[in-house]
Amino acid sequence: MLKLKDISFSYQNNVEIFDKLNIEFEENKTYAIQGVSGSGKTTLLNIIAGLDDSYKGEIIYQDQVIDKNKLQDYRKNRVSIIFQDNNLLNYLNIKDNIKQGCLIKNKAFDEALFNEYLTQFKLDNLNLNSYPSILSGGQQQRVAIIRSLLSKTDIILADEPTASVDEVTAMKIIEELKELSHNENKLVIIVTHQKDIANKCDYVYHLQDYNLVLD
Amino acid sequence: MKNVIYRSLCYLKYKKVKTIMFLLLFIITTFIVIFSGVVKSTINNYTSSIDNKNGIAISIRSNGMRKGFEFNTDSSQNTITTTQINEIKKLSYVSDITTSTDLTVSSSSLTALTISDDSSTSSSDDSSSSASSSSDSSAPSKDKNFASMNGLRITASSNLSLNDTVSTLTMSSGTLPTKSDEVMISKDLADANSKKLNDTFTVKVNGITKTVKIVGIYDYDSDQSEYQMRMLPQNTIYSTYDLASAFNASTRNEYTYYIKSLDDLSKFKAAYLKITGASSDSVSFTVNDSTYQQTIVPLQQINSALGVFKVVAISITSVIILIVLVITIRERSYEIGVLKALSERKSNIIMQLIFETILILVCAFILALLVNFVIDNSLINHLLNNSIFNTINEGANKMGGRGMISGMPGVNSSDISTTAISVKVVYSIGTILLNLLSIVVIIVLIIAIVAALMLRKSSRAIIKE
Ligand SMILES: Nc1ncnc2c1ncn2[C@@H]1O[C@H](COP(=O)(O)OP(=O)(O)O)[C@@H](O)[C@H]1O
Ligand SMILES: [Mg+2]
Repeated sequence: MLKLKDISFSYQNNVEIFDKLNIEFEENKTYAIQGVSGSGKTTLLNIIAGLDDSYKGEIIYQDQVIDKNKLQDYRKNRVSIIFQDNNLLNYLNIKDNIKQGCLIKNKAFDEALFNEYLTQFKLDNLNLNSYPSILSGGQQQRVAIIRSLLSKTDIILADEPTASVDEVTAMKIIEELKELSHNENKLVIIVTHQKDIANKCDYVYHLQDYNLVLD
Repeated sequence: MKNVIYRSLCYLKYKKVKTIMFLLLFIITTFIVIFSGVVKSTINNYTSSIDNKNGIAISIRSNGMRKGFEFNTDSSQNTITTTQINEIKKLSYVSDITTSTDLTVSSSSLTALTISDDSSTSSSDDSSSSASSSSDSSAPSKDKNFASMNGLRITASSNLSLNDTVSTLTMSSGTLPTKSDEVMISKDLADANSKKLNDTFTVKVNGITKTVKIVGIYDYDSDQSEYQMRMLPQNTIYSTYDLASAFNASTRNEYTYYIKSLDDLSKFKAAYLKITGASSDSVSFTVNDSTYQQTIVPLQQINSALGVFKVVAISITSVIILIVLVITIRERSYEIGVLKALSERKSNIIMQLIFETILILVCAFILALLVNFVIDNSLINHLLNNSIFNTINEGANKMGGRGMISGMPGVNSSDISTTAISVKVVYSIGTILLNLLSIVVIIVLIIAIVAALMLRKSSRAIIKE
């Protein structure tokens, strides 16, 4: 479904991050990407998300090479990304934060599905008019995940989504993402440095020597 | 777009302190900007109204006609024919010509005031030296020498008005004379002769006697400097020019020419000399731009001071906005990163930042406009009269001459400072909107540049910053 072909990347300071990286991701699957700090996990996720266009090589989505000036469309229609923390806009209340995913991507906001997810992610007892600052780290992550899911993109990227969350919650989040990829036909790529988290995923890749290596 | 506006409003609501801070900042700036615009349009309006109404007065004298403050009775060189007057009137930059004359009169029913003994002792040095040649005893000689100056006088003018002709006087009661048998006398003279408004008395000039009616009584506060001039301004009877003509007197006619602008002065001088055939050293031109000095100069001083103030205020605000934007770049960069990760367009993100600021700006502008409407009138007039007071004080000596020449009491600072002038505040919608537009443009530019610089980085880099 998503292929990276000969992706090379280095920042302006000429530090090489990737050298002709090749990988193919399938839908319905959850991928874990591991690697030491500074190995380029976040950089890779940014490239996949279409947030950084200074790469060499090709991103092929459903057998079509994505033109660099179409990256904005690709990002808007296909991808949602969850960061380690700081995913929410602090000046919007919880419901408005979740709605932003749909509003920006021009998708209809599914109120019924929204309520369903709230229950599923154990957020149904929250006051949706309150600001994100009152939420715990884990709750914020789950709000961000609901926002991703409601925007109904094929690709869900998560950059260390469990880093600021306790172990039990972390496990729960991974379980939910995995379940979604299977049930809703989505590609989920999770960057993590936690071994037990990675092991929950369908495939585990290691980022080393400028390339991805299957575990 | 709807979503962008919604986010902006939420942001302003969430960041109340910042919003209010910006609001106050913008109110101050826009107030200054609007105010200086209002001052400008008010000045323009006032300047043009003054130019149209009065112009700049020019009095012309034949040289050698005057000795001290006495006028030579030989007026042959001072005459100017009606044809010449009409020719001068036709000049495009001459807005008006008025005529006035001073006559020495006698009256059987009105006794002139004389200088009292205590005032003569108070300036004894001066009076004894000037009177010593005539007589040994100072008191009677004074009366004799200055009888003509201290006797009754008529000042007849074709445009008698308290504001221009006799600006140092105040009306005590009644009105200005408009008919040939109407006069205005001083309160002192009226009291000394037990005359009231609407009483009549007779005046005699050149053997012709006329009965005139008192329609106005003016106030004049005597001043030490007037005694030194050896005349009592309270003895002046003001009348219309028609009364003077009725006496057929060979009068010392004084013409005052009003030109529209001081720039036309040299043109006027040349034209005057050509029309009258006078040589340039036989006449002198006295420019009375006191109206101009008293009102327009202070207004222009305020205007230029405000111009500088405006530039400084806008610069300071721009710098503060720039600093605040850069300071909040951390917090905003995180938020911009989130929006970018949510695949929001760069243009929409910049739009949100601009909309937030412009919304505050417009609110501040409306508030500043309201404040302007409420206080402009009193503020501008207060500034103006303050400024006039200073100008008069500075130029008090210079302007003192004006009164002597036209036979009027001299001008001094205390007289003028009480003569508050009032201008009508004029709002120019075009200028106000132009000012708003320029502020908007400056702010939009600042935000767009700062935001565009931030957005060049990838969202993760922005968040991490
Ligand atoms: N914006 C940037 N400019 C230059 N170097 C960067 C930038 N972002 C990351 N790097 C460098 O690229 C390398 C990979 O970073 P990153 O992808 O964040 O690693 P990881 O997520 O695996 O910790 C690191 O050495 C980091 O210092
Ligand atoms: Mg990272």
